[in-house]
Amino acid sequence: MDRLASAGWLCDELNLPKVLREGREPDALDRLVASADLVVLSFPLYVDTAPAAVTAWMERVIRNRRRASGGGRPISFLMIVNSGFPEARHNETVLAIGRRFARDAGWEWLGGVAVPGGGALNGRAILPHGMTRNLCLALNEVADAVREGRMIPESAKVRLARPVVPRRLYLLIATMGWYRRAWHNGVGRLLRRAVLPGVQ
Amino acid sequence: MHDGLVILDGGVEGFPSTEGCIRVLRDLLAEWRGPVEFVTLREKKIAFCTGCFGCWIKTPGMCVLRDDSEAITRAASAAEWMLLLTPVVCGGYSSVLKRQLDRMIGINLPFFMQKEGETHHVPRFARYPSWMVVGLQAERDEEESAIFEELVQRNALNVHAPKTMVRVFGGGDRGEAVRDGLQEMLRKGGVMS
Repeated sequence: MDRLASAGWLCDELNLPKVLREGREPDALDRLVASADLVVLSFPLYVDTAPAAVTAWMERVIRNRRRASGGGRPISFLMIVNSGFPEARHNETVLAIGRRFARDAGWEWLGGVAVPGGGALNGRAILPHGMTRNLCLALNEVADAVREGRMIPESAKVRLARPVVPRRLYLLIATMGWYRRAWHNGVGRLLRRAVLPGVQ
Repeated sequence: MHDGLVILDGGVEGFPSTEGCIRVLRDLLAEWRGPVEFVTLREKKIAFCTGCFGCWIKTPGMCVLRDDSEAITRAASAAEWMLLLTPVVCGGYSSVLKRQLDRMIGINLPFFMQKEGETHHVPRFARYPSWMVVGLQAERDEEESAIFEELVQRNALNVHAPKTMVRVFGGGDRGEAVRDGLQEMLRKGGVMS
């Protein structure tokens, strides 16, 4: 978004679950989307696909299009998926869903990119140096393609699919993190509990 | 003891209705002596998952949010079979069904294992329900159907379902074809003889 904004694009950012949870005027969201030249949908992978709030929004867009019997201004669509698993291929199904959504919404599919091993980022800034350098370069490539109305280049997808941290180290750190947080919450001994009320 | 069938109806407005399939399922299962529970998800109070991971590190195994999802998760986890019924939305589940599935990640542990060459979560329980998944399309669409089937298989891998069956009915499938398809699925699952 920063790269697009620096090129003169007007960018708005919305948190879909927040908008839907707070019950904010859905028509306002529809108008914002309808007035856009580009929609970038970014979300964490949930149960191998998009979170329910994202799916709810997709349903809304498709219903609106059907009611309008097609038409509307041309909108380009880009999807960015961030997943906790270290392998990018976990995201392949949801990227196919994204491509399909663009078609059903009557939008132009610019492509989708997957960022695996998202736990290593954990909200840190993506900078052109250090462990996020590769990510930064790839996202710049994506932004430049978007600015020029091109499909997302394969080179950017390949670069983004590379884990920020080696897989084994990533999994080790993640595992230690779960234990640390559980003990901090006083449930360290329950972390692995396999018996819940009503379920054996 | 893992027993019975839990049917999660993920019908949602504006997409192919699940009501016809529910009627057929109720009819087919009328003579079955095992426990069966029909859950109409759109009538339940199920909040969006907030991604807090509380189901792993605060209340291990159960979501920290207390609403209808808790009982559904418990019932589904104790069943022998879980049947998911949903319109196919761009190759995925309906948002209504997805709300419930998102809230169930506590059935796995946060730890990792390698399965079929990929990283997945370690199972929490000794046993998991098998999956029957029925997707409904307004018109038969092979590309969308293939995406849906891939999603189901990936999910089943993640939730350690011992068996998985998936069937997509298109707009041209009506009445007897749907009934026969559902009956075949239930028979293969041993739910009907």
